[in-house]
Order: sequence, then C-alpha cells, then structure tokens
Amino acid sequence: MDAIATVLPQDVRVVAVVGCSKNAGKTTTLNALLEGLGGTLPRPGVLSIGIDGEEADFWLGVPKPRVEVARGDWVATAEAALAAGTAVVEVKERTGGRTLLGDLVVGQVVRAGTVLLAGIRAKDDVRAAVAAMLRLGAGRVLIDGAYQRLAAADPEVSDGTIIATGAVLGPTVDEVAGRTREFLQRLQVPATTHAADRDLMATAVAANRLALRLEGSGDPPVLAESPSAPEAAWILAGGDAVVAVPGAVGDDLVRQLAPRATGRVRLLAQDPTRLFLSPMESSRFRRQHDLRVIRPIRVLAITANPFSVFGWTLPRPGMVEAIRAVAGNVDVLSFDVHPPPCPGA
Amino acid sequence: MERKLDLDPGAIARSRDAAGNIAEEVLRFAADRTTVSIERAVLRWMGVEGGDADCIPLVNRVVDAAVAAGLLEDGIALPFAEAVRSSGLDPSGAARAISEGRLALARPAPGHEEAARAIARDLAETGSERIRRTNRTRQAFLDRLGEGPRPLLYVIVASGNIHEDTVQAQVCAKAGAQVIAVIRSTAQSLLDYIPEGATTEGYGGTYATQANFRIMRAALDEASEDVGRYVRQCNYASGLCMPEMATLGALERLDVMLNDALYGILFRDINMQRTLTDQAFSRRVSAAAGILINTGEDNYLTTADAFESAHTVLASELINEQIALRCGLKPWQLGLGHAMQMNPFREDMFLYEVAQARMVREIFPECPLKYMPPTKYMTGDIFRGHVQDALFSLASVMTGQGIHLLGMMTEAMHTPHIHDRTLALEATRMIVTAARHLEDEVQFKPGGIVQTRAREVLGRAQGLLEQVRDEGLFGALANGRFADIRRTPEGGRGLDGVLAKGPRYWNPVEDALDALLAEGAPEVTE
Amino acid sequence: MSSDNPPTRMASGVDLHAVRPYGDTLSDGLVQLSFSLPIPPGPEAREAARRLAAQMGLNEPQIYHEADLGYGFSFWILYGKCRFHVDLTRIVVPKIEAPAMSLEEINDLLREKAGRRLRVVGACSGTDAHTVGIDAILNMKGFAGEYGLERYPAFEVFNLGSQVPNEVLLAKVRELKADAVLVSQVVTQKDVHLNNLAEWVDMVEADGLRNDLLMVCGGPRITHEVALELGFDAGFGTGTTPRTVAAWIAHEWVRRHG
Repeated sequence: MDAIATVLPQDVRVVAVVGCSKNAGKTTTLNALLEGLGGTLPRPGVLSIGIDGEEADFWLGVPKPRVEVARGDWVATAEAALAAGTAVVEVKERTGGRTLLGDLVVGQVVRAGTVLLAGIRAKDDVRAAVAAMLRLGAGRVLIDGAYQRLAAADPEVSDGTIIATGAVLGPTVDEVAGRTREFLQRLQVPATTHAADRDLMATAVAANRLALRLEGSGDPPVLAESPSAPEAAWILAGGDAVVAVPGAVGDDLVRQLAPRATGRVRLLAQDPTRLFLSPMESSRFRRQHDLRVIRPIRVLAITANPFSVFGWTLPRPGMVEAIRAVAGNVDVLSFDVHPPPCPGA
Repeated sequence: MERKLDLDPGAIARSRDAAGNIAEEVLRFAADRTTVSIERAVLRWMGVEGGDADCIPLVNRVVDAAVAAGLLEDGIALPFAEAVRSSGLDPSGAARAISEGRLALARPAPGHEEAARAIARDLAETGSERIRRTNRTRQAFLDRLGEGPRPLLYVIVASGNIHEDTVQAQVCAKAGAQVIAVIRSTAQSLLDYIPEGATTEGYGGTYATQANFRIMRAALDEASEDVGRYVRQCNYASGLCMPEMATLGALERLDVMLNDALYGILFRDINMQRTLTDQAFSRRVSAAAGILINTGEDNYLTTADAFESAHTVLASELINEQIALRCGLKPWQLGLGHAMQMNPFREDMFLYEVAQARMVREIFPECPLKYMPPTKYMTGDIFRGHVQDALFSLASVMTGQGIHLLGMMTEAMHTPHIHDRTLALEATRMIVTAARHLEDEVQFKPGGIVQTRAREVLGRAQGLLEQVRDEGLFGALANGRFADIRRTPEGGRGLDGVLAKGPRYWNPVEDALDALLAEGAPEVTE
Repeated sequence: MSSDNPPTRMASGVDLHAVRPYGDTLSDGLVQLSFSLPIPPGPEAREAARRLAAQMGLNEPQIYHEADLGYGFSFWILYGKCRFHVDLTRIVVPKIEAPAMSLEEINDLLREKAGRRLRVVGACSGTDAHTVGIDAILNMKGFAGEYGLERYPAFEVFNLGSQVPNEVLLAKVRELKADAVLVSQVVTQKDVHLNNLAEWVDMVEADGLRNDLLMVCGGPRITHEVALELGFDAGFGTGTTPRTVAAWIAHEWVRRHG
C-alpha cells in the first residue's frame, strides 16, 4: 500500500478517481488511498459524484467494497446518508449544496467505520464541497467518480487523476489493455504549446461560441455557431486554422469541420473531459489534424484490478504488464483486492 | 371460409375499393421515382458484394459515385455495366475499382451502349437465376419435410451475436418453433447502408447482414433436418435499406420478411416519399422470391388505444393488402399484422379481441395474417404475463390465425432468455393442441357482443378509408390518422435519397422482376 | 417493483434488523428460482444445479423440475431457504421529492412562480428507438388516464423522438434554452443505455449547461437510485404517470428558482 503514497506528489491536493468502466475498482482504489494516507497529517477528505459505500452495486446488486474512513478523516455527503454507515461523523458545515439523498454536509469522523457517500451532482457543487473541506482543515481531498463519468477529472476540479481499470473491461488481457489505452488516449490529449491559444479559448468561452482564426494571422478571431456556419467556413477555407470549442466536442462537430478544412486544423478543447469523440472519429481526425486542450489532465497512476465482478479473473502479472505497455510513463499499480466472498462455496 | 360474424359484404367491398384507390395513388407516385437504396439493390442483384477498407459497402460507394457524377437519375445499371465492360472485371471487382478511384462511372459511348446493355441484362439474369434456384431449394425442403400445422409458431432471437442466435434458434426449433426471426440491432432501420460481415455485437438485436443471413440459414437448415420439418427464417425488409434487404432476403433464402413502409413512417420517422417508393420495389422482389411479408399494423396499438383504434388497424391492413397485390404478391404471401393489446382487466376484453381477430380472418380469408401477442400491458409480473399469453394463444387458435408470434412472459423486461422461449412454445403448443378444432365448433350469438363489435369496427374502418381516400395517404399521415402520430411528406429521414426518374431511366432488374413474376412465384403453402 | 411509499403496516413479529424471505412461516427464507444451464440434463447436471443454488445462499435446495431444452441446454426450477437477511434500519434509499399535485395545481404554481412556460425537451437518446415511454409522458393523450405534459399550459414540450444522439440533443437543448430534459432509455443490452446516460450527463457538464437544467431519465430499468449514480436529478421507472413527472419538474424548478 505504500506504493500509493509515491504517486501522490505534494502539490496534488485534490485527486479524482475515475473508472474505465463501472465496477473497475474505483472504491477499492479510494480505500487504498485512504489507507496509504493513514499516517499523514492533516487528514484527507472524501466525497463522491455518484453514490459510494453502499452495500450492493446499484445496478448489479452484487456486494461492493465499503468506503472505510478513520478517525479525523473528512467526508462530504448527505446528512441522511450518515445513518447508513457505521462511522460516527460530526457535522461541521452545511454547504447549501444538495444530493439526491438530501442536503449536503461536511463532517469529520470521530469514530472509524464505513460511510455512505451520496453523490454530489453538479461540478460547481463538487468544487464548493472540496473548497469547504480544505478550508476546514483536510490535507487532501479524494473524489470518487461514478460509473465511467469523467467530470471529476476536470483540471478545474482536481489537480490529478487516478484511473481504475481491470478485468471487468473484458475477458482477455489484450481486451482490457486495449480499452484502457482508448480511455487513456482520451484523458491524455496533450496541451497546446501555443500561447495565443489560451486567448482564443477565452474568447470562445466568453461568447459561448466557436472561436476561429487562421494560423499565424494577426486578425481578430471570428465567432461562429458551428463549423458549417459561413463565418467558420470562410476561415477554414483560408488554410491552416485554429478552432477553439468552449463546450463539448463530439463526432458531429469534427464531421462538420474536417471536410471544410483546406489546411491543417488545430482543434482546441478546454480540457479532456470536454471530448466525446468516438475512437474512430478521433483517430480519423487526428490523422490529418491536431487535437489539443488548454488544461491537460495530470494522470497520476493507473490501478489494475484482476477480478471482474462478472466472475472471471485475469492473471495479475500478465494484466499489469499489458497495461504498462499501453500506459507510457504512468505508474501501474495493482492492489490485493479479492473477489467478493462466495457464500457456501 | 365460414362466415360467423354476419359482416356486411357491401361494407367490405366499399372499404377495399377505397383502399384500392389509395394504393393506386401511392404506386403512381412511386413509379416516377427511384432511390439510392433501390439502385443499390440493383447492384446487389447484379452480384456486387463486399465492402471497402472502412467496411463501407461497395454498393454504397458506387451509388454515391453515380450521384456525384449526376448519373443516378437514369439508373445505376447502365453506367455500372459500362464500367464492367470497359474494365473486364467481375461486378464486385469493378465496384471495388470504382470505390478506389481506379475506374470512373460514365454513360457508355454510343458505340458501346448496346454491349453495356447486354452485360447489364446478363448480370440481372444471373440474379434471377439465383433466385429461381433459391425458390426451388425451399420448395424441395417443403416437399420433403413439410413445416407442420398452422398457425406457424414464430419466435424471435435477439442476442446481438449471430453465433449465439443460431444456438438459440436451434433450441427453439426443437421446442416447436416454425419461424425464427432475428430482431435487428435497434438503430439499423436508420442506417443508410447494410453492414458487412458476420457480427457479434448489436444493441437490442443482431445486425442484419448478408453474412449473418447465410449463417442463420445454415443453422436453420441443420435444425430442419434434426426436427424433420422446414424451419422458416425471418428478418426485416424495412428501414432506409428496405429494397436491399428484400434483395438479400431473396438471394439468401429468407422465407418471411417484415415489410411495411407505414411502420417506418410512423414509428421510425422515415420519410414517406422515400419509403413508399422503396416499398414498391421491395414488394415486387418479395413477390418473385416467394417471400411471405409481414406488416406492422399491430404496432399502432402500442401508442393508440386498442379498443378505440381497432378500426385503424383494419383500414391499414386493407391499404397494405391493396398495395401488395398490385406489386405482384399473392394473398398467401400477406402476413397482415394485428395484435391483442387491450387492457386485460377490461370486462369482456377477450370477446372484443376474438371479434377483431375473427373479423380480420374473414375479411382476408386467403391471407395467413400475423397475430402479435400482448406487449403493452405486460408488466414484469411474469406469472400474470404467462396467463395473458395463454389468453392470446386461445384467441389465436379459435379464430384461425396463420402466423402466431409467441408472447414471452419476460416481455417488457429484456430480450428473452433461452428457457423463456421454450416455456412459451410448450404452453402455446399445449393450448393449440387442446383447442385444435375449437374454431370449427364455435358459432357466435347473432347480435351478440362479438358480432356487434366486429360490425362496428368494420363500419368505422370504412369511414376512415373513405376519409383517407379523400385526403390522400400523405395527407392522412400528416393529419395523424394512424397510431395518433403525425408525419409530413418532407419530414423524416431519407428524403435526400429520392430522385425523380430521368427520361432515360433504365433498370434491367425491373424487367427481370417482370419476367419472374410472369413465370409465377412458386406457391409454398402446404 | 419497489414501492416509493413506506409500508403502512408491518406483519407482527418481524425483526426489522433481520428481514428474510417469507414462504409460509415467518423467517423461513423460502425462495423460488429458475435458470438454464449450458449442459444437458443428467445426474451430474442435477448436482451442478443444486450446488449453484447452494452457492447462491440457498439452504436445502430442492429441484422440482428439470427439462431438456435440446442442443446441450437444460432448464431447472428450484426452491431453497435463503440463509441471508438484511437490516432494514440501515437502508437509505433516495426518493423523488415532490408533493402530489393536480394538473391545475401544477399550472397555477408555475404561472405564479415562473410567469412563463417551462421548456421541456424529451428524447429517446443514443441508439434507442423505443418511444413508448417518452410518448406516454409527453404526448397530449398521456398514459393511464392522465394527460401528458403537452396538455399542460405550463409546459412547452419538444419531443425529439427516437435515436437522438447525445450531441444532437445537446445542440437542441442549447438552441431551445430548455429548462428540463427527459431522456428515455429502454434497450438494456450490454448496459449500452447506462454508457449513454453517463455520457449525456458528462456532456451537459462539459458544455456548461448543467446548473440551469433539470436532468431527468426514465425507462423500465431506471430507478431514482440509478439516476443518482449517473448524476441525474431524477429517475423514473415503469408505471410512472405524466403527472408525477410534471409535479417533480414544477416542484424542483420552484425550489431552485422560486
């Protein structure tokens, strides 16, 4: 478990745990982080954007690992959810935010045990809860993702991200590694190296429209509703271009963009959580053009779980090896998680 | 057909007359047009198979090239045959060369035109010969093995993986299934191409592809030998690729295909100009290939109330019948759709459903009819669901339905599990056997609930058909006459694939179809 | 189907800390079970079925029916005594918070608090083609004797129909400045609808629209709890009537903006 501390640099105060798939091992990773931070002061805080620490998986009904907190740890959850865990939590602050289980509170654990983390739905509420925990004295904040949602990995929410992957992604090592690579490619879209791109994105965000300009041109940027708008087409017809998208980037957008481009396009998104390109469209686009973000995600580590909730187990060394091969210089860790006990077996 | 409902023959005749007028208007509209999918079907008929490096079918690449070159309004056959002639390649080879830009599509120079036309006619004839052979194979199976008594028990498989589907289909055949339908992946009706190859991933169903058709056909032929009766294969000639699906069905020996433009218009928001044009061609193909078509009126009752809107089902069945007969289909090929969808807790619901089923039976005495089980009031209470399905089976056997789609107790929950189908087949066979001659024994009380209800529904259907005749079918659809859904002639998907035929339009497959239909498709009823 | 209402009456003698299935005697734990195995029936298959039931937590598993499905498959019906229990007092379930209101009350509330019609967008998103659910909630004629949202003067409804990709839905929500979005998902194969719903929530968040939008999902396998996990504001399952959805939208909008 000490390995976990090595992947958390000092400057990373807010850590998101996201899964390549649901049941990939997010909660196990979260518990390992909490345990790994066992001796550290000040104590960490935890919150979830889904629902965490419940007894059974919301979809499969199978037993799930519980979220285990120690004395001094911080939690942000619904007040009503505190009854469902065995830990005793002293409520310190009501943030005014809401979860589906009721009003959100930030509290500190006075007796160790399990907690039920009720999901905080909106990104702004997550940021408010994180800020409250840090202000009240938490050393770090760990955010558990939900399902395979990426919102918590947004660099405006978290300083770094840990990816949970595992056998649940497929029955063979190669399939798991392949799908992990796809996920990683999406999260690791590189930052732009052009200083002027930031200004272009700021223009796009302020206007809530696409902002376009010709590469190297000193002309003011052009705003457009979509790549097929005449203003956009005019820029794209002029040669190499830079296009800043303030919101979500999906297949439709690049399908409209690519045929209109006469030169090379550098497509800018705010950060990788805004990217919703299918692997096919993404690779097709990137063969001829460039995809960049303003704020990259710092991927701290990948955790690999050899047990699948669907009942199969992959050889741990082989799986870790295969994931290392696609992980580049990102650390790959595998914890001693065990399959849920099989009663009567 | 014994007349038990005392229906007014004049009302039936007037209704059919109005439906005939509606059908003629629709077919006049279709005759002046072609579509990208009809032209792709022509290429498939002429032997083009396979896809390019990105798995886009070659027929799409060729037709897209013809659109780009402004050639399609005169039909794909002649420029394509010219490409075959000038290159010396086989049809698939020429199509591949066109898709890779190594070969251009063009009208033949005057000196080559006759040679190109001859090649096109030869390729069309090759397709016809394949279809004749397919028809003979089916007939040989039926002559040797038969297919068991009516109603034909029809079940669906929908695992998403064709190789799982074949296992489940064989288990169904053993349990008594006579028709196996492979439900398509949910988005497929809106794809403007047919995916290539054997597929193992689908959503809510399995992609219909030429390779999957072949794989299922082989599995069902094997099962037919095992169980000693011919098991029919069913899929969908519907959606944006309707004509191509019908053509693949004809080439790969499908026996039953769902084929209903009205269904696509109402429930898949496919453009009406596109799909009614596609349907005219598709039905001619099915007619020539001895394929039994199923129509989708049963679906109206999933959105509209089954008691209040029963007459819309009958009206639409008459329209579908009249279009189909004019496309060369014979009555034995028309599995007109209807369903048991009334609230099971409604008093005398069973009587009303029997009235409807018997009425349709008497109005279409030579059509097999496709009777669909309850879905709307299925709840997840599998025990109650099994009883609802039993009521349905009893109504089916006592009114003489020809194709009986089995209800699943797990309807509204998930695609059926392997034993769901076996349990449904066992229960249905028990009921059908137990009540085998009930139909012959039953008379309905003169002026009773059943007779009165049937007469009312017929009367309302006649009124609706006369209204639709006055509005035109396009107008009626725009006014929401069916399923409470409104669709406009310019709305929906696929309008950009419709072309007015040019003055030089030529399609040798149409001529081949005329020839096949003149020979008379083999009648494969027992 | 789980009920949203707490039981009004408990059978006598039930230990709420240890609730077990009931056959004909309190806490007998009796459960019925059926499944197929991909092996032909026979003595070994019989023992395999029994052991599987034991591993599922059933004591004294009894096989009452076995059948040969053919082609190497067998079907089994068993009964057994469940050896587990649950502690009802530790269960926390998210529930829809909205008072029951009539059509008129909903209209009156929104007329007073919003002073305009709320724009409601509905779609079967992704590859889903099954519009029955969304139509039942939105269409004028409604479902189960209740009018759909189109009938409410307080709502302006845009039903986008079936198979609407998330990206298209997002563009529409932006264009119409929607107040609430209802997505319906029926197809359940391989969890495709869950992936699609999760992506939808992330996409709305990525586009900066999350705070101003009431996000609702519905479908036969959707519960409020699934909605919570996926990041929606509400989830509605089978049997939900239009008025329940309308009341929730009105109540929640007023809570946020009123």
